[in-house]
Amino acid sequence: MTDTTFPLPAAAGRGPGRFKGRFPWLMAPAVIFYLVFFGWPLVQMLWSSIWSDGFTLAGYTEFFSDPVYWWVLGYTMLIGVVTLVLTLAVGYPVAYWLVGLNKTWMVVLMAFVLIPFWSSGLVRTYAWLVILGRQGLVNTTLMRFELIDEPLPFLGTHTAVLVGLTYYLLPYMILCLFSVMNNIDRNLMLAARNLGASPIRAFFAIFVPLTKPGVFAGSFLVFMLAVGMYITPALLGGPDQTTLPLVIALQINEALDWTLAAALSMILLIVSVAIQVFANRYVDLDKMWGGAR
Amino acid sequence: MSTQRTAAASSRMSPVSILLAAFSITVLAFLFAPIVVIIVVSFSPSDIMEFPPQGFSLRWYIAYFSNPMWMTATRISFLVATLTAILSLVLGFMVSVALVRSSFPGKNAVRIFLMSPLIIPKIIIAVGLYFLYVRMRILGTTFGLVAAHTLIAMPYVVMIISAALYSFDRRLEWAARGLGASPLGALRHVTFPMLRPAIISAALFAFIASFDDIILSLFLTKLTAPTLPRQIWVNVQQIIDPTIAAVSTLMTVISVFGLWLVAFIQKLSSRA
Repeated sequence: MTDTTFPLPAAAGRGPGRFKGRFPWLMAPAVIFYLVFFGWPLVQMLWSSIWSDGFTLAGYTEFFSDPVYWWVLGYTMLIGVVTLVLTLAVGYPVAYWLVGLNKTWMVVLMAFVLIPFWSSGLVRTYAWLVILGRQGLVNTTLMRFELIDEPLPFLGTHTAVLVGLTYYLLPYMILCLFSVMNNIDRNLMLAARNLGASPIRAFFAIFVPLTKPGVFAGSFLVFMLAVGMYITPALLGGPDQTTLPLVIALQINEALDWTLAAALSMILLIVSVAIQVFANRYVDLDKMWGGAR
Repeated sequence: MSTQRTAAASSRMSPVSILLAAFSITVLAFLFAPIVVIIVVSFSPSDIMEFPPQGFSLRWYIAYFSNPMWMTATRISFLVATLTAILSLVLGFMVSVALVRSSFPGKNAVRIFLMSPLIIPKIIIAVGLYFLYVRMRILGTTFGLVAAHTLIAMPYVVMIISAALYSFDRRLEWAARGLGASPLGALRHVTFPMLRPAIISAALFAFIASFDDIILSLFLTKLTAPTLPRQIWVNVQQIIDPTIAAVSTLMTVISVFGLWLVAFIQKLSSRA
């Protein structure tokens, strides 16, 4: 609420003051909508995971007793971490370089980040199918130059999934880092240089610590999106690249085991919420969502 | 100033900077190359994916436009995205006004609740809604999909409209009230026109969020009435046919055009 000392019109009785109390109700439709289409399904999912013709923990028992599910959960987390590290390692220098450019070049080259960011994820994953497929770009090119006789099986490998995920999520990381780096006062670096610090020391002692919010926000976002990703492992991976979202979809579409599907979804949800709570200590999520100013 | 210039100039010439530039340009090329591949392949005349193609043809675009299956999917996608934009805009506008212009206990909790569909894995939302829709018997309906897409579109709307409301000078509204305008009149003649760029941006973001969604569509639509991404999905699973490249190119053009429109509107409004 922005309070101001601007003199209010005489008709104060009908003035903005009274609206203060009325505005909160404007959120009612949206909140009700969210409770019905977001809150309720989640509660129902929790319910389905522990109730089918009576109380049951069958879904959870199956998860915790079958090492296959442990392996899938572990693989999903591993994929998230590796993607995070890759996007950070690749994105950090690129964001740094972009921030240092002059305005015109920055705008032009940011398009190379923004256009993929705004293109459909499915389309971009499909592109990798075209590039890495049996009759894909890489294989046909290699065969044309007679470097190989048989198409190489790129799809269905860990590399394919990681390339696809890194490609998909890199723009998120670069944009997070870029927005933080762009607001860093470069004079701080010059001050450090003037005080005798080497460029490398100035970079690591001044610049890097200031980019922490961007690093945390980007890492959090990339990890969460990687862990929940369905299309990339489904299209580029094989049986060895099964992630939790793929198992959930499989239970619903083919195995028709709703109790297990609900239990698996709850586990993925609990993991994501736990990570959010953990991340909240380092990332100002509220600020990330354009909150408190 | 002279130290700044020499520092900048010397750092620009150093081997580290050259390496950095080379690395960054390679990464940017990596980000853009797959999109270029799709666009180029979509104009290929041959049945198989080859790169570079042996000529130029529009046959895959003709195949797309003359196929009723693709046209149905396109129509559904446009309809759902338009309805999503309208619904999320109305709900999101109201909630933004409430969040920005009033204080009440639990305000932050409400904001986090409204933003959480962005962070929670989409597959969980899809599964939850699937369970719900089966019981409500609205699985495969346009309404069901619009409601689902509104969930993921509204966070963008709330973010954009809230930001605009924060920077809005309320004294203009009060001046209008002081000059005798009714609350609705002030809203209509002062607030809305000033927020128009934000409203249009929010609508475009919501439209694209819905238009590009695959996961929710995968769970909540029928095979006979799929959205465009779902139709692509079905085709990708079965056969790799350059028609998908043509459809993908068109989808990319629509998304990028939307993005450009947002940037253009923001530029116009910042100049005004």
